[in-house]
Formats: sequence, structure tokens, C-alpha cells
Amino acid sequence: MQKRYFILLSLFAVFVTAIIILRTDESDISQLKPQLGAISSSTEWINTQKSIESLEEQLRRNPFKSSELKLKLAQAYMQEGRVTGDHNYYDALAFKMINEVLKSDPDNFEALCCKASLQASAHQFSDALQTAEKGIKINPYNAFIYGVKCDALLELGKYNEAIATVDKMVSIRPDIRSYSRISYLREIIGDYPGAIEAMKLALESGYPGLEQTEWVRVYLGRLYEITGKSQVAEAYFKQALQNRNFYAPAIAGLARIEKSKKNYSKAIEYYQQANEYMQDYSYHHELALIYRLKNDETKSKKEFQIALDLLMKHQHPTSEENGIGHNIDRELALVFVSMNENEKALNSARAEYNMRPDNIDANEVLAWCSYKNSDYKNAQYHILKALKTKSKNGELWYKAGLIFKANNYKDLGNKYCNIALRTNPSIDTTMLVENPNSNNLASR
Amino acid sequence: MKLNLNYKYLLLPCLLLFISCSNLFGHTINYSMEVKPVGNVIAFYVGLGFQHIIPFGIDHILFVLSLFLMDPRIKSVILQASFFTIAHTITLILTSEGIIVPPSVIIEPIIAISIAFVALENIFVGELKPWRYAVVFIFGLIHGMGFANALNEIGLPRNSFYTSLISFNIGVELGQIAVIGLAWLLIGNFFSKEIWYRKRIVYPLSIAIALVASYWTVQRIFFT
Repeated sequence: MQKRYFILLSLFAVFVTAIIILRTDESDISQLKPQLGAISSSTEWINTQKSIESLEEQLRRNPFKSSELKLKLAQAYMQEGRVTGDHNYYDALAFKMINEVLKSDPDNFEALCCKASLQASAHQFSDALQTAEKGIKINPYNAFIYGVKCDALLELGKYNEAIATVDKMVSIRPDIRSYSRISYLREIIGDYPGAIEAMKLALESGYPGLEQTEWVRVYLGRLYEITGKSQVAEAYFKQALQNRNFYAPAIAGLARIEKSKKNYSKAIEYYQQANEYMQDYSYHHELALIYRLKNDETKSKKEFQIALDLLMKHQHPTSEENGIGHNIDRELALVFVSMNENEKALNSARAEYNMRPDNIDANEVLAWCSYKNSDYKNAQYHILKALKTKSKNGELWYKAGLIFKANNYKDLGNKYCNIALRTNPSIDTTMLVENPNSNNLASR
Repeated sequence: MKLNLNYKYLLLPCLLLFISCSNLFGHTINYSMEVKPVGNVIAFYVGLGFQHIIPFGIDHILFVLSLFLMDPRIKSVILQASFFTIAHTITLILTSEGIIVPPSVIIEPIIAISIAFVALENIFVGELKPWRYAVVFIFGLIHGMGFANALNEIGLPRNSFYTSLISFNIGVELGQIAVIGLAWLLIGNFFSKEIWYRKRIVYPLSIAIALVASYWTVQRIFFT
């Protein structure tokens, strides 16, 4: 009997050894991209890695539960895209999963929520609105889907409808998502105290340390920053960084504060640190602008190019195979205009405007690009459209002031510029210089 | 002496298994449970542990059933289950604490093959031998890593880490006791003293379990 047992044990040992040898190479197959540097040993990254790998493994093992697992995995990819800023990669993975779920179950509510959210993240706002409305028909009592609808309406410039939607959202679930949207709506109608109040409520309803909560904290800091209270803003950014190490938006906030103090070396250091943790074109764009301030044109050009490359990487057509393409015309226009490539900037700004002609941001960027191309009439037309919600954003008002002056409304222009600087003394006016061809300059 | 040699052969793959695990990792955090009262946390994780056996842990059910079949006396089954529990508690804690991170692609096929092993042992070994407890203990270590992988999907709250881990274990134990109790009621109570018990109950059931477990092993190695 012991001989048979010995054979059994030996067979078991052989099988186990074979499994270990066969499977060791496969044990780390994952769609997750590895993180580098200090973040690679952070608890959150390790948790994310384990969760996603566990879901991927389950999906391989349980094809019959695939819809549920694919949705969970898609949500995890979306969150990872948000955390790392690599939307291009993770949104594509999520989009593919969600499309597979919707192919077999076109009315799957959760899948529709995810799809709408992804479309909004990719700036495909009309599609996002359509998907969200389909979701609302299936489940009219879910706050999340109203949130996505609100975002799409806002971006399409349908502000009254967005307000009605966020009212509905908050009546279903007053939480971090609904309060933060209320805050944004108040901000764009120029009610900064109201926006800050709502953002504080959003912050109170979030769990400290979570990405969403710290995003809200950083945005609250941003609200203080653009209203000239940079010390308070700095405290919020530091708090966010304390709750969530390596949080790039908080580091970028500190970089802006340093830049406004003209501590350019420190600002560069912060932006470089932020770039380590999150891929975001805007950090490179900002770095390029700071290098230019330091008269380092070589580094500035290099950073502009990286910003452009990052943006271009996102722009590919949407398809089930390719994943989701991002509309990035506004962002491209902003980079081109900073590079003084004014014609390219204008083309991109027009493309953005054609997609959402009623949106204030699209109008602002087209106004500015028109101004830089010496088309002051059009610039004025669009800046007035950008001001229609009565936003008091300092940068917007400063640009409006310059455009009014270029159109020979010198007093009005000066008034706007002065108010802008009173609202936000940290506006980087060196970036918003008067156009050398402007009528105002000629009349001096 | 021969017995010691056998243990060495069994320990070798287990050693390899531990070497293939890396350290450093921590458990997934369950943020929603961090704000819940302790009572809710306990109830949640006990339920989760129980569900991991009944109804979702068909592989663990077959393993416990195989342990039961060899010697259906409650005392010996409880003793084997206790060895299994102590072992899986050890690896569950080690894995959840992040001291070891066993890759599930390795652990899951080994869990399947361990079920086949115990089922075949029922066929080839006529009676319960002392070494069975050692085998059960080692397999318990491996199954504990599997439990940890399942628990990782849900995560553990940072502020009641051990409470939730112990609660999960209690749930698993309750699930195992339920399987043993049911098997005793349906099989042990009626047939264990029959002369044909091994021939008509242990052999067919063990063969069936071994076949299912072999199928899982192949599936988990080549098709997942």
C-alpha cells in the first residue's frame, strides 16, 4: 500500500512541478501597463494590479459570467485610465469590453452608463448624450446616468438643460458627483462663493484618499486659486497630496502656485514630478511655457512637441477594434496658439467650434485664435458668446479685454482687464500678450 | 523511514510553490466596508466566506467530501477539517498581509489536482493513515491561497482587517461544517457501517470526484 501511495505522491509532485513551470510565464499576463518609479510600490497601485489581474483571471475562467466580469473589468480600466491619465490605452480596453457586453445585451444599463461615461471622457459629447438618454429610458432613477447626461449637455453648451438635469441628479442622490457638478455650474455663471460652497459639500461626501475625493479637493483649491487666494489653494493641494501620494493634479496645482510666484525652477520640478505619475499633455504644455519664460527655447520646443505627440496619440477613429478615439481639437488649438502657430490653432479651434458651437470654452478658444490671427471682429463675436453665462473667469475676462481693445473699445477693454486681474492676480499675462497687429496698439 | 521520504517528495513541490510567490504585496482595500459598523462587517465577511463554499465553492465542496469519504466518522472528519482550517488560515493571513503573493494561475490548477489526489487516495489507501493529516494540512495551505485570491476581489477594510479576515474564515468553516453535516446525514449516517460502503459509495464517488478534478486541472492549465 505504501508503494502505491509513494507512486501517487510522486505523480502529484511531478504534476505540481509541471504546473509551476508551465504557468509561471503566464502568471503575469495582464492588460495593465506597469508603473514606474516610486508609484510602482504604492499600495494603491498594488491593489489595482491585484484587482485587475484577479478580474482578468476570472474572465478567462468563467466565460459564462463574462458580461458581469467584463463590466467590472471595464470599470477598473476606466478608473486606471483616470488615475494614470492614459485614457488612450485604458479607455480603448474598456470600450472594447463594453461593446462586447452591449452586443449580446443592448439594453444592459450598467454597460450603457459606462459607454456614455467613456464617450464623454473622449469628448464625443453628442454620442454621450444619446447613450445617456437611452440609459435614462431604461432606468430613470439612477443618479450616475444623469451626471453623464449633465456633462454632455454642459459640453454641448445646453446650459439650461444641464441645470435641470443636475437638479434631477441631486434629488436622486446628493453626493460627491452631484455636488461637484453643481459647483461647476455655479462657477460658469460667475457665482464663485456658491461654487466653493458646493465643492466643499462634495468634498465632505467623499472618502479621503480616493481619487475622486482628492480630485474634488484639488478642484476646490483651483477655485481658490482662480479667485486670488493662492495660499488657501496651496493648502488644499498639499492636503490632497498628503491623502494621496503621487497625485499628479495636486502636484500640478503646486507647480502653478510656484509659477505664479515666479519660482520657475520649483514649478518645473513639480511639473516633472507630475509627469512621472500621470500622462497629461497639459503638464508638458505648461513646462514649455515656463521654459519659454526662462528663455530656454530648446527645452520649450521639446516640451511643446511632447504635448502635441501626446494629443495626437489620442486622436484615432472610434471603432470596436481600435477602441475609442478622442476629440482633442480644443486642446490642440491651445498648444498651437502657445507655439504661435496661429493658423493651425485657428483650424483646430474651428473644428472644435463646429462640433459644439454653443459651448463657452469652444467659443473662448476660437475667439482667442481669431484674435491671434488678427480677425478681431470674429474674435469679439465669439468672446461675447463665451461670456454669455456671465462667467467671471479671470483669464477669460483678460482675453475679452484684449479683444475689446483690439476692436477699439479701449475703455471697455481696460475695464475687463482690470477686473480680470482683480479677480485673479495670478493670471499669466505674459501668455496673453496683446497682438502686435491690434488696433489698440496702433492707436497708442 | 519510508514515510519521511514520502513527506520530502510532497514538500518539494510545495517549496517550489512558495519560491514562485513574491513578497511585498498587500491586500485590496474595501473602502465601503471601512465606514460600516463592526457588526455589519462581521456579517458581510461571514456570509462571504460561507458563500465561497456554498454555493460557489464546488471545488472546495468536493475536497471536503473526499476527506469525509475515507472515514466518515465525525471525529476523524472534524480532525481533518481542523488541520485544513489551521493551514488555510495561515496562508490566508500571509497572503492578505502581502507576505506572499501566490499567482492564481498556479494555485487554481494545484487546488484542482489536490482534489484529484485526495479522491485517488480514497481509492488506493484503504483506511485513514496518520500521514493523511499532513497531506490535508499542506493542501490546506494551498487552498488558503485560493481563498485569499477570492477575498482579494472584494477587498478588506483597513480599520478592521483581522476582524474581517477572521469573519471570512468563520464563514468558510461554517460552509465546510454544513458540507460535512449534510454528507453525514445523507451518507455517513446510513451507509458507513455497511460492508459494501467502500465498494458502492467510496469508489464510485471518489472516481467521479477524481475525474471532475482532473477535468478542472486540464481546464485550468490549458484553457484559462
